[in-house]
Formats: sequence, C-alpha cells, structure tokens
Amino acid sequence: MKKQNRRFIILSLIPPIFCFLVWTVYPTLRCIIQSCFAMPNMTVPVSQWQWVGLQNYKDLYESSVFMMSFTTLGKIWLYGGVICLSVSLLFATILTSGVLGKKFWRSLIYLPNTISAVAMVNMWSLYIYNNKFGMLKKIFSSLGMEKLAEVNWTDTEHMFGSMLVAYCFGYIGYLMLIMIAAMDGIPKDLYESAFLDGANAWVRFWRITMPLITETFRTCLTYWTLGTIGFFIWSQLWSRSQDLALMTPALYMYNSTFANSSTDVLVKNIGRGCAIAVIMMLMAMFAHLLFNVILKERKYEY
Amino acid sequence: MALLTKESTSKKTFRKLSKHEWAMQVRLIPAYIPLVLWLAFSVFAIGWLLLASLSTSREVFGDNLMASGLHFENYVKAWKSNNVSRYFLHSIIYSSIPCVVLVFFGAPAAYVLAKKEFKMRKFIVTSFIVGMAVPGTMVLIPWYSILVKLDLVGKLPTMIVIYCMGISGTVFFLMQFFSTVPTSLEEAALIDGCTPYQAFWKIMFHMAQPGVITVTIFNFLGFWNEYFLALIFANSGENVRSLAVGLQNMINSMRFTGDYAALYAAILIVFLPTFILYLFLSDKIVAGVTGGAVKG
Repeated sequence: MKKQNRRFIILSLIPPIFCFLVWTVYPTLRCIIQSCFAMPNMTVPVSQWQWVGLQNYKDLYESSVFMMSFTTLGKIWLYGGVICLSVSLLFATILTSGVLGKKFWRSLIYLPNTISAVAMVNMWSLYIYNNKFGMLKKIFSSLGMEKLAEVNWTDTEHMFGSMLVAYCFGYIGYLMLIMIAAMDGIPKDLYESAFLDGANAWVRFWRITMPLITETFRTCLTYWTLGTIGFFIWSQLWSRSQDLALMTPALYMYNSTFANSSTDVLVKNIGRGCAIAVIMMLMAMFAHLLFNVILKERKYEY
Repeated sequence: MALLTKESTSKKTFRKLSKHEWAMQVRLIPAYIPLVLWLAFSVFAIGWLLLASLSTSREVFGDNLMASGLHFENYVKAWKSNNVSRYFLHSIIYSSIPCVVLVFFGAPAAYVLAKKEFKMRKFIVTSFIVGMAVPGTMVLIPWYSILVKLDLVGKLPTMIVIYCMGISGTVFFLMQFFSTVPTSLEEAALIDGCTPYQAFWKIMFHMAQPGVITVTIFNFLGFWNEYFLALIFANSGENVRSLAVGLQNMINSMRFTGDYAALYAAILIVFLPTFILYLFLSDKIVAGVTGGAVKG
C-alpha cells in the first residue's frame, strides 16, 4: 500500500512539474543565456549566435525609447496604483458599511474584469472617448463645459490619461473584492463599541479598518505591481500608430522582436528582446522581495 | 404548514429590522452616490453599444440611434465577413479543451500537494510560487523560436497545448480547496482495498466538486479573454485566430472603411459570451476571486 501511495504521488506530480520545467525554467534560463548573444532573427541556429556579453543591456540602457518606456511604466504604476487602490478602497468601505443590495453592487463593479480587453478597449476608445458622438463629449456639453467637450481624448496628448482611466475601470473590481473579504473579517463589535464611544465614520475608518487591513492592502499593492510590470495589451490595443506615449518595456520587446516595425534606430536583435524579458523578471523578483520580505510588519490580532 | 411558519418568521425579522435599517440607510445616502454613478455609467455604455450595433452607421454619426428600426444585418455582416464564425469556434476550442485537461491533471497534483506528506513537498510548492512571479513575456522568444523551427506556429493544437502549460494556477486554487476537505473518508476507502487512484477519483474529487467548478469557470473566462499569447502564437492566419485577435484585426480595418455600426456589432460579439456567463455565475465568480470559499 505504501508503494502504491508513492506511485500515486509521483505520477500525479509529473504533469505540473513537467509544465513548470518546460514553460518556466527552460524559457528563463534560455532568455538569460540568449540575452548575452546577438542574432538577427528567431530561427538562427545556436551555433551562429554571436557572443556580445552585456552589450545588449548596454544598448538598452543607451536607447532613449527603452528608457522612456520605463518612465511610462513608472507613471502607469504610480498614477494607476493611486487611482485603483483608493477607488477600490472607497467601494469596499461603502459595500461593507451595510448598504442594501451588497451582492448586486459587488457583482456590478467586478463585471468589467470578466470582459475581454478587446471589447473594453474598443468600447472606451470608439464610444466613450469618441470626439463626435462619445459619452464624455455629451456629458461635458450638457454641463456647459464646451472646452472639455471639444477635447479629443484619444490623441497623442491625452491618450495616456484616457487609457489609464479605462484600464483602472476594469481593475478596481478585483482589488475591491480582495479588500471586501478582509473587511468582512473584522468583528462588527469593534465598530459598535467605537460608535458608542462617539467615533464618527471617518475616525472608525482610519483607526479600525485601515490598521486591520494593512496586510491585505499590501497584497493588493503586490498584485498591482506584478500586474503592471508586464503591462502590454492595453498599450498595444490603444496606440494605433507607433505612438511612444504608451510604450512599455513589454510593448517595446514585442515591437522590436515580433511586429517587424522599428520604433527605434537599433538593428533588430532577438538577444536584446531576451534582455528585456530578463530585466522584467528581475523587476518582478525585486517587487516580490520588497513587498513580502522587507516591508513585512507585525500582524494585528483580533 | 411548515412553509407557512417559516414565511411568517422571516417577515417578522424583516419588520423588526426595518426601523433600525431605515435610520441606517438614510445615513448611508451619500454612500450610494458613487454606486449609482457606476451603475448609470455601465448601463449607458453597454446600452448605447447595443443600440448602436442595431443602427446604421449614418444614424450613429447623426446621433439618432435606431431611427430606421432594428438592423440585425450588422451582426450578420460582422459574423459572416472575415470568418468570425470560425474564430468563434476556435475560441470555444481554445477555452474548453484546456479547462478539462487542467482539471484532469491539476486536481490529483493539488490533492497530493495539499494532503500527502513527502520530502520534496515544500520545495515543489515554493518553486511553483516563485515561477508564477515570472512575467509571461519570458516564454515568448524561446518558445516562438522552437515552434517556428518545428513549423507548429499557426496550428490549432499548438494553442491548446500552450494554454495547458499554465497548470500551476489551477493546482494552487485546488490546493487551497483540498486542504479544507477531511481525509478520513479516503483513509477508510484505502483500508477497504481501494487503490489511491480509485480513492481519489471516486471520493476526494467529488468532495472537491465546488472548487473544481469554480476553477473551471475562471479558466474558461481567462482563456476566452486571453489576448497576449493568442496575439503571438495564434495570429498567423485565419485557421488559428481566436475571436479576440480576429475581431481586433477586423475592427482595425473597419475603422478605415467607416463601417461603425458593424464595428459595434463586432465589439458586442466579443463582449456578450462572457457577459452572459457572468449574469448567471456572478456569485460563484465573485466568491472564487477571494480564495474559493463560498461565503455569503
């Protein structure tokens, strides 16, 4: 029976371990190695790879477009993070305060998360932001704000902000659900006794809710950060031409290795694409370490 | 009789609560404002898209939607042109087959990692966790190079296998689920002479049914909406494109021809399947996001 049990364990674990080796370990190792070589396309045999050491990383460091993609990523992370975390915190607080129809509101706010990014992007860019018959235009002109109604939200100047708002709209529900789960776990008598002691909603939020959900807040921040590092789909769908305003490292990698279009003066080099993937992985590892090891503080007990 | 008493008690509690509730709801009026705004926005956006997709392009630009009645031909046009029906079928294949495969291989592994004691357990779990933090961009160049060399890019099975590769997410979700399931039944079955396989598939797998259903819904939605890998590995021709990739190509070309009505119909064709699924399963999905424990 013991032997059977062992066989069961081993056979059950083979498929996921195989996938892990093939789909995570192998690509990671290969990217690290390949990032030190240069090759003009994907099908060049390994024997013709040209050793360049850290030159690919140096090229990237010197490429203004790539460095700009980092600034863009940082802006998405910071502004988007502030919007997503604060709005989802607001909605989570509202929905745990005893409003009627909690289930309905919760499902409604999570809804955009389950919709294909293609549908969301096109809904926003072709209807809501449309400068002829779009929703924003109508809202602004009915409020008498003609100047805002005239703005073309999808032009190069405004596309970053408009994309970020649209992206956050879809992300808020996810973070909100995580926060609601944490807030539902806080015992109600804490609020009741604070209420009887004369604490208003604002004080109760900052003195009870916030300290008790710091752990969850950090989880949300980790998810947001790890999700942002690979930011790609929205940028790729939103920028129709080779706009640099939405360029992120992942999009830069896609454009320079897959899309046959050069947004940069650099010669096509697959090794450099690998270097970008390695840099993004290091960022993810660093973020993981930062949020889960270094910033770890003591838990409140309740 | 039993039903009647039940009803009257529930009415009583409702009445008892309502006074206290009313006072509270009045205080909560400001809290409803953001919720109502969100609702209004969603209803208007989706409603307008629906109406626009049933109007002519001229009506869309002239701001008088549906002036000449319903134009279902937009959908017919969007569906028939550019092989959308075919893309739809591809998406169903890409989303459903991996769902079955992932549960078939993921469930036993999740169970073993959650319940069995063995040396490498901790190491395997930690490696999976570290592995999940590796960005998806990592697989692109290595695997695209290999698949191009083997002439496997642009084949339906390739995409199915690619989606099956991300099994660790399913394993993790089910692991949490199995860790709450008691093992005494399985032990009894083993003593009665069942093999570990029989014990797992006949007993433990059934006890994990709610978790299996939730993870399958998530996987299906995830694969249906997946765009990143599909853009790279399933974009080489009409024989492989998923619905999202195919429609995006179509939308890009429709923007230039100015056929906005058919374009909105195309958006709704991507939008509706998961939207309808969500209408029926939102409780399960919402509960599943936060750890799979189905709570109120």
